[in-house]
Amino acid sequence: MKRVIGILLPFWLAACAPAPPPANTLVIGVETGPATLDPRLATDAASVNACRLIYAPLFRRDEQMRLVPQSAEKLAWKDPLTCVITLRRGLRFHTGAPLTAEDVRYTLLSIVDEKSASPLKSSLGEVAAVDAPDPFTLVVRLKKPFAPFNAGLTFGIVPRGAGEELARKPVGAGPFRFISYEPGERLTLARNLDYMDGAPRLAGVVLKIVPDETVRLLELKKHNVHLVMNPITPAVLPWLAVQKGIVVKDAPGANVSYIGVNMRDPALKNSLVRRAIAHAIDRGAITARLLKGLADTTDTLIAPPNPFHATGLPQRPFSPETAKRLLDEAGYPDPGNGHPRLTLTFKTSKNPTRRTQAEVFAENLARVGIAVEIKSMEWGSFFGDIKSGNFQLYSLTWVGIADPDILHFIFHSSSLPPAGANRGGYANPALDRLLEEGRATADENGRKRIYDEAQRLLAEELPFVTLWSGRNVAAMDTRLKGFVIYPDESLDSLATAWLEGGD
Amino acid sequence: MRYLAARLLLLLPTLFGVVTAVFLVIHLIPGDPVEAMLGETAVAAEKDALRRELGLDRPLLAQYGGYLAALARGDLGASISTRQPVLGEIAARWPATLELAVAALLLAAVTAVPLGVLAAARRGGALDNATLFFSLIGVAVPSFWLGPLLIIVFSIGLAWLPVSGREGIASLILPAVTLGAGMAAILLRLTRSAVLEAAEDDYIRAARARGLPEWRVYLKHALGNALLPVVTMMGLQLGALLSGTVITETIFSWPGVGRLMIEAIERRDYPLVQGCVLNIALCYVFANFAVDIIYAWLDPRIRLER
Amino acid sequence: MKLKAGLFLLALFGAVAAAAPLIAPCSPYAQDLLRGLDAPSAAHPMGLDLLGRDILSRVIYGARVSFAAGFVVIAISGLVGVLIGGMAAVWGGRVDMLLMRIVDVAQAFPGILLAIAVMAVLGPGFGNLLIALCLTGWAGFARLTRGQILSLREREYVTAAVAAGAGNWRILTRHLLPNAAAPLLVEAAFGMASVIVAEAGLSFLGLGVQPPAPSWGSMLNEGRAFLLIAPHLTVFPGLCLMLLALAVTLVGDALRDRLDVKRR
Repeated sequence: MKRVIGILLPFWLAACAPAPPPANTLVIGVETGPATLDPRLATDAASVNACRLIYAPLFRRDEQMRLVPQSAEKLAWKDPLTCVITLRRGLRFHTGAPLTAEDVRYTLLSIVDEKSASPLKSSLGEVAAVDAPDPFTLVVRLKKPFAPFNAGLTFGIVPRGAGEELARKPVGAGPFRFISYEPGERLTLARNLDYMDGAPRLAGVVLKIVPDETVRLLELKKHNVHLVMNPITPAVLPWLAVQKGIVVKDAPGANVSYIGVNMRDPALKNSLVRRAIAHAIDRGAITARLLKGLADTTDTLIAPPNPFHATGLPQRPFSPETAKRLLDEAGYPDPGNGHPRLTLTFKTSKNPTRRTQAEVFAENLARVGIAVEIKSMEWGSFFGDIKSGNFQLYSLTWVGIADPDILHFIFHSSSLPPAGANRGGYANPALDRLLEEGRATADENGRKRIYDEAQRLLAEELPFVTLWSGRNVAAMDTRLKGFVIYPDESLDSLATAWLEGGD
Repeated sequence: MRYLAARLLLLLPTLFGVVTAVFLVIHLIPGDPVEAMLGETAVAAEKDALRRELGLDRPLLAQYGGYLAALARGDLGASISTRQPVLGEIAARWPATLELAVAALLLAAVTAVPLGVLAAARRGGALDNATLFFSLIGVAVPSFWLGPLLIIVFSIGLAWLPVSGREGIASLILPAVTLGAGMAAILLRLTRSAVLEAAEDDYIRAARARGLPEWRVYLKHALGNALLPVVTMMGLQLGALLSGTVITETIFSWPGVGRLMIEAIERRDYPLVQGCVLNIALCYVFANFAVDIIYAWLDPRIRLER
Repeated sequence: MKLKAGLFLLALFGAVAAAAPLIAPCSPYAQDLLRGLDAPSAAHPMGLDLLGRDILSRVIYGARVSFAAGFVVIAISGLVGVLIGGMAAVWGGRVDMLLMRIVDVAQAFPGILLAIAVMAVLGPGFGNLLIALCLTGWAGFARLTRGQILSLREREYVTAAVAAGAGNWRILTRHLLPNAAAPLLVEAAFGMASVIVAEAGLSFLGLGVQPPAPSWGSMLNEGRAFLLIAPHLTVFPGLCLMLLALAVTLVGDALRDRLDVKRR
């Protein structure tokens, strides 16, 4: 009997199996599905990445994080308050309707509208008026100069009049058009044959939602999935790299991990203590052994691939001796008998990678006499505590930092939550001045000088202990060609990538 | 019939209790849906506007009243993070969870009850010990470990079954085994112990004395009596089963309500969490209602009492 | 035989947990990043985890958490559940109605949300973890107790006791509970194993014991990502979990036989 079942079972199961996706359709294994497909409301990485495939922006960031025109042909500032954008000719939405300056105007206005819930609002500064004098020209007037404005023009363009239905039935002008979305299961896209840069070679893209990492990698091993991007546990990569038909690649990323410090804390407001912490943590050992070289240590939030990355900053090399000396100076001498000089609480999310890193930080800090109690919390509670300033130390990653104006949001004294993300309550008039100046300076070289100075100041003062910038990892089917890993994990290169033997 | 109606009426206070409990719990725990939704780059004025729009600026009691009133009209509200009606969001995911839970329940029942009877009949024998081992694995191996192990053996090694996803009957097998294993173990031990207990009863001894073959004694008499606790257990395990779907759904990329609820909790998406909990509670309550009916049918004394 | 084997195993685990600092070969917290994920060797019979910590020592210390969680949670939730279920069955009427509605609500409410709420309000920690597990555990005992007693109370010896004028409390403690004990013990035995696994499940959701403290559940969860390359991270805590479950099950089975009043 058992033997009969053993023989029949595979046949029966095979009969039930669904048809495989058409050849030349790329299947990407992703951890979570997009919450919304309306590019104006997208906040999470999954939504942002999916929207980039469906919608075309005026400008996009290339693999070096430079702004390059997409739907726009050129951009000119008539004066510091007036920006004139010229569109490419002959653009069409997936419905066949032409994409004109009116659509861009509608999209822009619906983002900056008073009642809009768009997270992109603050990236465009204070917009006074938007005009579309002809179908290919857009004129934006600002209330006051806002240098990061250009960087804000990367939003996806939606058809005029588009409302809430876009979240589930998106229409854009990007390289792929929407076919279907089964939340929790998959997002299916097909190539846009009328795409402005020519039809993609891939027939379609499927984002298959596989929440568990091990299962995601097993789906890749079975070639049910062609591409998996980070997070991938670094220790598993050597195993992955030797699997048949799979190749692993990595490239510098724009994400920076840091230890956040509460500047209101009596011990931590002392910069000597913060410097001691920076010297105590063995970043080299963690990046080399735990992260298997898939992270580059950095002393600033503006990661190495970014044109605004500052070099020659003050270094905090690993040195327990220096850390102990600094703690002595700060008034925390060694009490002896193995008692700690100082006890701190370290909050972290439930993410296993973060928990493990917190364990290493705690061990590193214990060596210099700082006892650390780890509190690993469910995300909502953790983030709530961080925002309300209810912490001493915590660790997080800033994702996809592009324009250096983000420093205003993180460190300006007016950016206390909920207005900004200055969660540690850092206040430095000199830095405030620099960040305001950076905002009002349009000249690129001038901006670079200002932000170099700001980064130097931050590395000196350490309101954050900056740790490393993670390298982006992609494990993919060897048949996938032409895929480029962008610093911000964008999937833009799928517009030109292809599956070998697929077409 | 009157018993049925009375029993149905009793469901109302339970559901009311669940609705109140979930409302309190979700609003009392720290966290802010507006922050979670707008992300970090929004400014305070935008957040206030959204809070007003969602009615989150009103006093808690007013929000509760509004929620109850809407609920009475059958309106579960709209999700904060996706802006879609909660009812639609849940309806899209519910069939997957139901399918998984029912499959796991059936799988547990059809393996555990016969094995439990056999184990009781061959008490102390090799078969009894084998089922003990089987149930140990079921109860002691966490599903987040068992799931990947099953995938490695049956999907990667033997290549019989799909790794994950919800595509056809074949993809249901591994998640149903993973979810049902713990319940099967509990049911097996319970069946065995209930059958053994019933076997000591006088009328069974009488049946035996009448010369009925041993297997008929066990099958007809002992099992009949053992079903009462087994059915109770199935009903009350359903709550655990539905909660357990969170982990199984995560591992097998199963697009169900369990995952939806966890994501909603993380985003502090109040209406969606309330909707998910209400949905799970409704299902649980009706399953137990069914258990009570089966109870009354299996054991007429209970009906007479009321 | 079963009882002896089960008690022996339980005593063994209890002794290991109690004497953990004496018998653990290394500190469960000592890290060595250079040797992370090393396979079992003579020096480290169970190998090393991602941070190069000795898994044997962590398993020994982890016994404390798992053991305490299992016993404390089952003792408290079992006691509360049996009392409430017993009261509901014996007093009947409105008491029964009210208590069973509370049981219904407690059981219909997803345990995970309750656990998250407890941790969020009281903060993460081992004690609060136990509270969360008790809050979800008691209702099952209550319902089972009530069901058992309802089916028992029509039996001759109970009706005889009622006829003899025995009070509710006496009937409950002397006649009903001892006879309802068998399924309750089976439930308790498996419940204990489930509680130990539930602690692991909460770890899966990031709500278990706080790092770097080891528990078998959190070790299983942390080792999960390395299932493909370093199975020793999960095999040993998994085996211990199974052995402890075996022990409580054996004891439960044996007690069932002894407490079988009708044969006495």
